[in-house]
Amino acid sequence: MTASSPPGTPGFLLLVAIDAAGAHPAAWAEGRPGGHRADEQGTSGAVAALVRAVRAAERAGFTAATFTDQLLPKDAPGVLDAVLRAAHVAPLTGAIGLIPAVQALYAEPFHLATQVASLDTASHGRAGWIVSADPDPRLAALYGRPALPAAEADGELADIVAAARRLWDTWEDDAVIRESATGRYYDRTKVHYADFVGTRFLVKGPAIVPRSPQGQPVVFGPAGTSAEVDAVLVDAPAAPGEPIVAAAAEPLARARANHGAGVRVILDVEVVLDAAGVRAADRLAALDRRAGWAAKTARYVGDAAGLEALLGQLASIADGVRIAPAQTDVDLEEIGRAVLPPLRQAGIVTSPRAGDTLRDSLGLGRPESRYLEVAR
Amino acid sequence: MRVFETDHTRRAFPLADDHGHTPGGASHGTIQFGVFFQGVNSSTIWNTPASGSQTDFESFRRVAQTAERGLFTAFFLGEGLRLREHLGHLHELDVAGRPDALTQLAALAALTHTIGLVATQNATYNDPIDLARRLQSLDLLSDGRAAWNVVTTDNAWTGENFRRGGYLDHADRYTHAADVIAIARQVWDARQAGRPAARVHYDTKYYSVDGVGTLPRSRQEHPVLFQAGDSAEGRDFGAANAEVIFSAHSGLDDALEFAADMRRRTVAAGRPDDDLKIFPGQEFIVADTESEVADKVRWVREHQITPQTAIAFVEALWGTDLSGYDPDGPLPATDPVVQVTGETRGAGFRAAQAAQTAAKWRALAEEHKFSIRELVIHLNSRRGIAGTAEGIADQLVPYATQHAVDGFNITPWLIPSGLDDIVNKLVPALQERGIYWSEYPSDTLRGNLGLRPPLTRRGEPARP
Repeated sequence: MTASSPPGTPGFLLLVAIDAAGAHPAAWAEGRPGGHRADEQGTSGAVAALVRAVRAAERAGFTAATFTDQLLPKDAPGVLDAVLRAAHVAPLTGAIGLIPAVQALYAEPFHLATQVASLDTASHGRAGWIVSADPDPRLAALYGRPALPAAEADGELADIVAAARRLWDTWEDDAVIRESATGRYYDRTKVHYADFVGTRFLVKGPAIVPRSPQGQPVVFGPAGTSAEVDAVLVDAPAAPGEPIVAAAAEPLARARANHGAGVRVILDVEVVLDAAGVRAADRLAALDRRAGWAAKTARYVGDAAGLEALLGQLASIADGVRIAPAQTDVDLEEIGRAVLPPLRQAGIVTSPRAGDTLRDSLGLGRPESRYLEVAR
Repeated sequence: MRVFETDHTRRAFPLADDHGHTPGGASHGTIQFGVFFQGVNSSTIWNTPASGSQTDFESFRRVAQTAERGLFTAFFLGEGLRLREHLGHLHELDVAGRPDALTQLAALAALTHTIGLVATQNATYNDPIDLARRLQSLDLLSDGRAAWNVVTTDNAWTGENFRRGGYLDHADRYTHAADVIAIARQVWDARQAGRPAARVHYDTKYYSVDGVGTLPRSRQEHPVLFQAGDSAEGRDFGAANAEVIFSAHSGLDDALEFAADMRRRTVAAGRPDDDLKIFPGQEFIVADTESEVADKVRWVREHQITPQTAIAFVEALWGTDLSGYDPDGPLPATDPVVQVTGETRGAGFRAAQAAQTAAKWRALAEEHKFSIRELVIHLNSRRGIAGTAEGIADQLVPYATQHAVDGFNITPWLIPSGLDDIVNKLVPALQERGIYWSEYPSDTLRGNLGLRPPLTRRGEPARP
């Protein structure tokens, strides 16, 4: 794939997971009224809270917000479809990237590609896509399909991403010509069949949507995936007492080595901050008394200055971090107030400007359609 | 009777009383409007300076917000599953390229407040539990304004874009769709107050799925179900399952006949006859003065049916290249080379008996001395009402007073400004005649349509 615009050098990327009341399983119970309580999930109050959180993240200067998919029940209220949540906030924001996660394994690749391209168009080029391949057999039962052996899940994911990427290229950027002399709305020589052949499915194409503003919306995947990704998310749980930077160094280096220089490497970090006069450790203890929260990755519990220092250190070994706030409203507010301004001032973080695409923010060029050379 | 707890506090639609009568919605003798942002076919004029983008989000925003300003009941999106083809090639003459309906409507939900948001989604190439969850998500994001227009595509040509391929026989399309609806309703009904999720299990001829309902119901309980099938089987399916019919019967006599037939079928399905609302597709051509009407109609039709489109239309029936023919000349003297038209040009061309239809067209052309283009314009003008705003309003009065329709689903022939005259001129003229509301009676789609609770949620005690 050739790039039609040269990649730039982005600042340190700061993503935030906007998932209902927060990453902590007890965030619901401790949530403030106004959309963050369990009994409010799915109501207009919860939708308003989603909009408030993404707008707060945009104001704070985050590069992008991510939205988790949750098809199977947990001990918390279900969440609305991730692509639709991202689409809902798209016209209410103008700079922040919008990155839904999708359990892609059993879904229709054609629909997934159309949904993400539509999000990219509705957001004027701010769409990303976190692909994941959870081998939980209950997901297969949801679709009424045979469960895929765990060993084959990543290969299937790679096929799904490859099919979507081909579909996204099937309309050349200038395919719609509106040429009165010949009566043609589009030029069929600039629209191509994908003819994708995967291990388990075929997709004929072309896409049902024209090429979206980014051409290729940004694909995020788990570190180590064989799928063609633009960025990977790295987990790095630390041993008790081990500094986060030390714990993260090896997994980040491995991801860098696996995925090559062009792929952005982003560390997942769980965050609990001092807030409203309550120490972070005490907030966490209060939440933990209601429900345990097993660390999935590095976890920072402390004050804003410490998080600022940590992010500054991580900037030399990662391309960015994704912060999972323990409680969305509380921790996001603190980060926006006390962590991001000094990082921006120090030139470590560059916040997206209105009109930037997510590819711009990530320093990724806009790729031309792969069919361009074939056609010419 | 099983008693369910409802997990929302406000019912935003009227409950049926003991006699099954539902207050609310449009009062008797009125009509409502929906708008269909079509995105395919030749009915949208793309070749004038006023023709805006068919795909930019701004076009959708403008049409939806204009419709809401005009107190429209619903904003309606189709679904594309495969780019249309003509004689073995991509069909490049018509508008094409449509966003995913649910994704687009989720975005539009943020910019509108009251208008219903209708997503066409086929029951064949979507997975039932995934689809049910996406529809429910839109219903919750829009706070009770979502609808599902259930379509039953079954051909293998479309299936080439999907995992299962052309797996469904045409004859099975409605029994299959009924299964998908039944699963969706189980997903929507599953959750009960105070519990995070409830199991959904479904095992039939078509599906063996194990799922969960993790989301609460919206203020309208379920997304409203739209349906458009017109065969006898399709009508029975609609009468048994749907709440709104998007029909093709827009002429007054035709609409009356269709309404009587659908109401009879609805009663036969064990439902009250007003359980089903009927919205024919419609096109309005609004002129400033009586003397401009004929010219404006001609202008619209000639821009919809270009010389190339006229030839392509005839080619689709003949099944062969007719590019050597003069669009302003007569129909080909030769016969069609196909028996039956295929699937690749969309529903309007599906399964026509080629020789028979060609004979009809020839007779029509001879009778009226039509050229190819004039004939194609004639064939594509059966729908549509033209006049001044006052004149069109007068023509719509009998539809309302005779209850031939509950409303019209309007396809604008220009994007994004095609609703401006309708909202600015026709709506006030209808309001003056007392056949169009002056404010929304509700803030959910179900409430504005005057519908009862969903079929699986009736007879339950209302709870505070």
